[in-house]
Formats: sequence, structure tokens, C-alpha cells
Amino acid sequence: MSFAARFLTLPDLFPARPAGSPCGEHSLDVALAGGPYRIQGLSARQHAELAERYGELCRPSVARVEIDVFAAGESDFVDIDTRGWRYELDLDQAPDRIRIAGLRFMAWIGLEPRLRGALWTCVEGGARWTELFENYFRILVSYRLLAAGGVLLHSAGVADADGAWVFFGHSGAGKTTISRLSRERGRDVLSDDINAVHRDGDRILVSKMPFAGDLGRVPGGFEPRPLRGIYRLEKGEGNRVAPLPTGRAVAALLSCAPFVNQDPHRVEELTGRLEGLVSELPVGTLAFDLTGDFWTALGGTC
Amino acid sequence: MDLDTVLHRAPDTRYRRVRDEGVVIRQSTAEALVLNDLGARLFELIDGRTSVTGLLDRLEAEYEVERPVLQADVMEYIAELDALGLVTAGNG
Repeated sequence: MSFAARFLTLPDLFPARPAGSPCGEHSLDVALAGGPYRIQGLSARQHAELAERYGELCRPSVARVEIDVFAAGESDFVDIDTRGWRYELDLDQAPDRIRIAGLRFMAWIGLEPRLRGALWTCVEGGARWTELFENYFRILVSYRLLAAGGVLLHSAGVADADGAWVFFGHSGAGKTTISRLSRERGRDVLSDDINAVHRDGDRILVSKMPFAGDLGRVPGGFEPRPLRGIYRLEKGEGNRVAPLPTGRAVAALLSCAPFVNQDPHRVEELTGRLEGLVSELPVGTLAFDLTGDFWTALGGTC
Repeated sequence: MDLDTVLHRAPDTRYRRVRDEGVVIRQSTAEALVLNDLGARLFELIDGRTSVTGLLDRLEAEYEVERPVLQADVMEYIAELDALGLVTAGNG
């Protein structure tokens, strides 16, 4: 099936450039890693719901990335019965742009000369609106972070006063469990699902993303933390750290870097970024049990 | 797959050398496979024109290993790459 045919009634008429009628006159600045991001062309209701969704991250900023929101007609989208249906977005990657189609929206990410976004939807508000926006926003943030020298990682981020650790792995690897154990030990949990690793000059930082995992949303904690190490979670008995050779570390991280790892035009860049991270940070595997004593194995304080 | 087979990299793969290992990325599934030095060199030499015999000749010139041992290792690698869909057999 050709791109967007599942979602759009006329996929060949996918907008060629970011243009159209805005949903409204409101804009919102979101201070998130890789940003700030300015979302403009919002209706009053869309604005209010995103402002509530992103809370303290919303503050007036000098935006680095602009996202335009345009109104589309309901007839532009295929009416889909979603009962028992597995939802996957349609992505079409090119060297200079990415096109995205999903339930009641189509979107675009332009990469040159600078990254910017556009989204067309017939949804005027409610849970459908915040959900579709976030589906798009995650993808845009992953591209923006890559362009800025960072990466979005499926991971658990855990911090203490000195910095943060990132524990990565696929669903079921133990990200939520290690987050819960860390919280019980007084650590701050950033996200137990997805975190941003990014650079500020020579420093490598990790930031919580507002895309909640199984532990749910916890207010605050969005300030970037110095990243102290990256560990792949492994099932095992006891608590131990083992080295992870560079190639294996890059391969493992690649599979946990959503969206950009499936873009044939960006995978070289992504691999290079990951190789850089692995060469600059402590990287290994961590087997842990439910005692929470893995902090000792990591060389941290309990 | 035999010694006359000409191998092609699958179109959705990307490859990068990372120090002494090779990382093959399968784009469609975002999976990555790590190859040791010999496996990485083998993958680098797969060009859609060279037969398995030709690949063995190149590797034999680069590595100090007996031809029968090398051939056994290479055929095992090729079978694994084929099973993972990372290479296909063609006519050159």
C-alpha cells in the first residue's frame, strides 16, 4: 500500500509544503530538550489542552523549532474502525523531509535549511488531539535531537544529586522495575520509558521527556542532569556490571533510538552519534535483582 | 549457497565499522547485528559481483588462517547472514 493510503482519502494530495489555514491564532512555547519548540496556529482549546499537558515546560522562549498547526477537513481522512486494530503511523523519509500520516492527521518535518514542522488535522480538541499531537511531537523531537548532536532513547533515567544514569532496553527489560527500585532508594526518576541524551558544549546531559511510561507522569524534574553512564539492562541473578564492547553497545543503543533508527537517510549520522557517546561515557550491561543493591555495583552511593 | 554464489547485501541494510567490530543495521526492523572482525571484513567485501570463492581469496590474503578453517567460518557466517535476511544470492 502506498504512503498514507491507510489514513488519507487522497494521499496524492499530501501537502507539498507547510501551508494552509491555521486552526487558530494561539501559540505555545515548550522548553524541551532540543528546543524550545513553538507550536503556533492553535485554536484556543488546542492551546489550553497542550498547555495543561506540558505544564511547567510551557514558558515564553526564543524558539529554535517552529511547528505550524493547520486545519484539515474530516473528509480528508479515512474513517477507520479502530476496534482490535494495531495503530502504526505511516512514515515516508527523504533526505530533506519526513512525511507522517496517522489517525486524523498528516504531518511534515522539514530538515533544511533548519528543522521545522507542520501538522494538519481535523481534530479540534480533547484526548484525540493531545494524543495525535504527541505522536507527532515525539518524532519531531527525535529528529531535532539528532540534528543537535543528541538522541532520544527508550530508557529509564535515574538521577541523584551528582548526575544521572540511563538504563536502556526494550519492553520487558526492566526499565520500570529499576525505576521503581531507584525511587524507593530516594533517587529521582526522570522517565521510565523515554529520555533525551543531548549535549551542551562538552557536557553530555540527560533530560526527562514528558512522554510517560508505566510509572506515569510525575511533575517536575525536567532540568538537564549530567549523564554519568549508560547501561543495558539484562536479566540475571545478583547485581553486577559488565563491560559492553563498543560495537555491541552501538548496536544495542541503535535499536532503542526510536524513529531515526528506521530512517535510511539518518542511520549513518545516528550510528556516529552513538559511537561518540559510547566513547565518552561509561557504558556496560547491568544485571540487577529486586534488592536495589545495584547502586553499589554501579559505584554509586546507596 | 555454494562457492560460486555471488552475494548481495539486502537493500534495507546499512553497515558501519565500529573499531574492530562491524554493525549491520536492518532498516525495516531497526535491528542491529554485531560482527567480529572477520565477519565485518566479509560483509565489507560483499559487493554483488564477487563469488564466495573470490571473497575467500581476499580474506585468505588478509588473515593468517588455513583455507579449510577460513572456508568453514565464512560459510557459517554466510548462512547466518542469509538466515537473518541481510544478504541475498544473485547472479552477479
